Amino acid sequence: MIHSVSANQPSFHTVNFTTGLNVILAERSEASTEKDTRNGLGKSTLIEIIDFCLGSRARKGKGLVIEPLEQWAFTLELTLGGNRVKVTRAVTEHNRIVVEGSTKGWIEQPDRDVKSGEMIYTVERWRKILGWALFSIPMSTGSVKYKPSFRSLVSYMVRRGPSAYLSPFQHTARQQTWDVQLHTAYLLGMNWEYPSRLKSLKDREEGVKAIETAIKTGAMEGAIGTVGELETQRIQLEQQTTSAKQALDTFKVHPQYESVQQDADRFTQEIHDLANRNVTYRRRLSRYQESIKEEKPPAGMSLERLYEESGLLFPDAVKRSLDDVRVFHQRVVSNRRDFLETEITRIQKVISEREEQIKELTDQRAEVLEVLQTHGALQEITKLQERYVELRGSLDRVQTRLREMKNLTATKREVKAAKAELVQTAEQDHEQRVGVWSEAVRLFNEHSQALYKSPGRLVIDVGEKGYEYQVEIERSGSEGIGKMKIFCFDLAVLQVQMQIPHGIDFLIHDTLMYDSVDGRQRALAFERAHEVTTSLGGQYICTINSDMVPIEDFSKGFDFQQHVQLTLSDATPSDSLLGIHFERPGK
Amino acid sequence: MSATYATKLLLAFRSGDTCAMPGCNCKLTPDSDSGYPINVGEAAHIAGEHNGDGKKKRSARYDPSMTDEQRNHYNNLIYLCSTCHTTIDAIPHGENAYPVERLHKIKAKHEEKVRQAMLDAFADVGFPELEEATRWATTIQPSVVTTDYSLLGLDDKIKKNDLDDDARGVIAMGLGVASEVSRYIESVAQTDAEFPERLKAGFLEEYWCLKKEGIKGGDLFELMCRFAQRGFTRQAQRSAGLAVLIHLFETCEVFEK
Repeated sequence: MIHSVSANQPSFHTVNFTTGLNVILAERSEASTEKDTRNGLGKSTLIEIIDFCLGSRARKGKGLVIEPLEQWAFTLELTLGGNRVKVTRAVTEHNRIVVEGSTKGWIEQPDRDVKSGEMIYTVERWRKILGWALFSIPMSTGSVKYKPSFRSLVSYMVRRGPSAYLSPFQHTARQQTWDVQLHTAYLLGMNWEYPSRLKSLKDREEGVKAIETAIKTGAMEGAIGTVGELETQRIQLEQQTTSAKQALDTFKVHPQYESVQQDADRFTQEIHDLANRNVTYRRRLSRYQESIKEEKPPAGMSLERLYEESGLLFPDAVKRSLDDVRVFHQRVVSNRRDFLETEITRIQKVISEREEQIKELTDQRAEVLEVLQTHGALQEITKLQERYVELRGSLDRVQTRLREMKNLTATKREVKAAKAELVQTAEQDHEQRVGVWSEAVRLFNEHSQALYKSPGRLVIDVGEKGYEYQVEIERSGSEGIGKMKIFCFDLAVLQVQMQIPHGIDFLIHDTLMYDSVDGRQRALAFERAHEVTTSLGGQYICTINSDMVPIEDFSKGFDFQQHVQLTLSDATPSDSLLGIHFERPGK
Repeated sequence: MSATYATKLLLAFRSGDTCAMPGCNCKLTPDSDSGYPINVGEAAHIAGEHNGDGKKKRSARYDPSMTDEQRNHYNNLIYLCSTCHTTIDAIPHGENAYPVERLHKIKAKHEEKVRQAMLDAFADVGFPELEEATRWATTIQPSVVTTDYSLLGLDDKIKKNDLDDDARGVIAMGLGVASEVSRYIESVAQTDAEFPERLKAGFLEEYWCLKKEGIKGGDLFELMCRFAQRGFTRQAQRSAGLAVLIHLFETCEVFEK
């Protein structure tokens, strides 16, 4: 129950509300034209203020959160959860809801502001309190992703803006299907968990579809194939990973591997050099040996014999000289032989030294080669490690992909089954709760009959797509009748809500509700709303332009004027709700 | 300043008058029309000669830490044809492709190959080769007939002339064909009695000439070797020339005794 709306600025026209019908009347002065009137009077602003105090979303530069209203704070006095309190929300500090009055019995208590001593809630907590107090939303709904939200529920009872007056089941044109299904079901006392779970299943279904599309279009990174192809890849990778691991485990690092390798190369080179040199030395050796063998004493000095044979006398002097020459030649030859023999010995020694060296080097090389065979370089193990990590990565990816693909099929099947099961459960549940929702149907029928003298129908179906709602009023089709469907539905919801503890007890309609509605129906609607709310102790608050009041059509004894709580006029700015003139941005 | 003539001759000898660049095989002592061989090989610097401060550009592989003497030393030179010389000295590509170490290796390998071929070719020395290798002696004036039959042991003589193991190896190989040389000289002497003296005169003239230039030891020996084989292209002829020289060494006609 809303008792009053006030503000911290003296120019503001405070409004008080009672049970039953409460009208805010907007009067047009003679001078003004149809177009520029009334918009600035504050009809919509009043509803905006109520919604603001009920924790509506505050966006800078939008609604009330604008520069001209910087200094303003609005107060709603209402009975909530058994307590009559005043709640104030300032334009500037809009995340702070100040509560005055007892909050005894409320599920969460406000915090005390250390500076000002005020009792405050953050907007988020305030919405929780309101959800509990006005719609019995439990404080905790667990980890359910899609659950009733206070803001969505209250938007049905405080319909704001043209898009809230298009369908009974929507409070804004942008509302998603699951949101409509869930909150309508909640308001009518049906099982809201059904649309919630259905939506979760749909999400999973869409997730699966998205992955499938990604796979088809190749948007997913990495090799994509069938499960069979991936299995083959997995087996290959597993083998490679295992052998890489083995290689890694048995790898022995030699810190100076490269220098050892260089040693081995050097040994090989040296051995080759030595062997080559020995080949030429042996060749030389055999030549020396041959020449020693060939060495004969110099050709006989046959000159002497020649002389003798010819009978000539060989002179002594010549003979002595010849002897010298003979000795000389013999010495030359023996010198040569000595020299070559020394040389042969020397070469033989060099050759055998070299062979010794070759043997030594060969042994050393064998040792080094042994090291090289059993060890590896540090870089090699790093490379091996990198390769192993890479293989592991690939294997993980393929395994993940396989799991995903297998999961995908399983998920698809699971979702399908869960959906079928959910529909079945929902159908059964719907049957069982027939008492609850048929009450709403009955009330809707009553209201439509009161307005149009013909029964209307509120149809609630359960199917694979969730709840499907429809309203019918015979002779419907005109915009006016469409609006009255909303009226009938809202009034029925209010009645249903008021029958449960902590149900909302007020319904607020903008003047938009009555656009293009026949005067007769307008009159009947006001009377109906008053009758219903009065009997239940609830409130119906509406704003309307004075020229839309169907004075002629009211029943005898219904004093419309008596319900007018405030009259706004465009004669001077002070006659408007806020009592000041201000420009809305963008207007 | 550049390498001395003797250094260049030594380089040419050890390189077998062939370009050291692997695969080039360019002969660097072609015959001229006059019949005399001309040296066309170039003693290329391994580490460059010029720092680039003066008129000349910086040489490839220039090493500021070296002295000019080191730069022009035998060890820093490699015997090349002019094409290969240009190639290795081109900056930057030639310089990059042929760093100092690589050129040292090329030189060492080539010289070793030449030496081996020379030693091996002693086996092929016969009268025809000796005839060709000594033909030059026909134009030489004979020297005075020696009657000095004193002889020095070969090892002593090697020591006295300050020869190294390389020279020793050449001598040993030459001694292998020394009797062949003696027989050839004897056979020529039967028709040309002055032949041995002319041969000796030719070698002695060169020997004293080199000595006068201050060359000694192993270098002197090797330059005599080069003289012995000058102008010949076939390895057998070249080795035949050497065999003649070693015969004279053995009989103490040339070199210190």
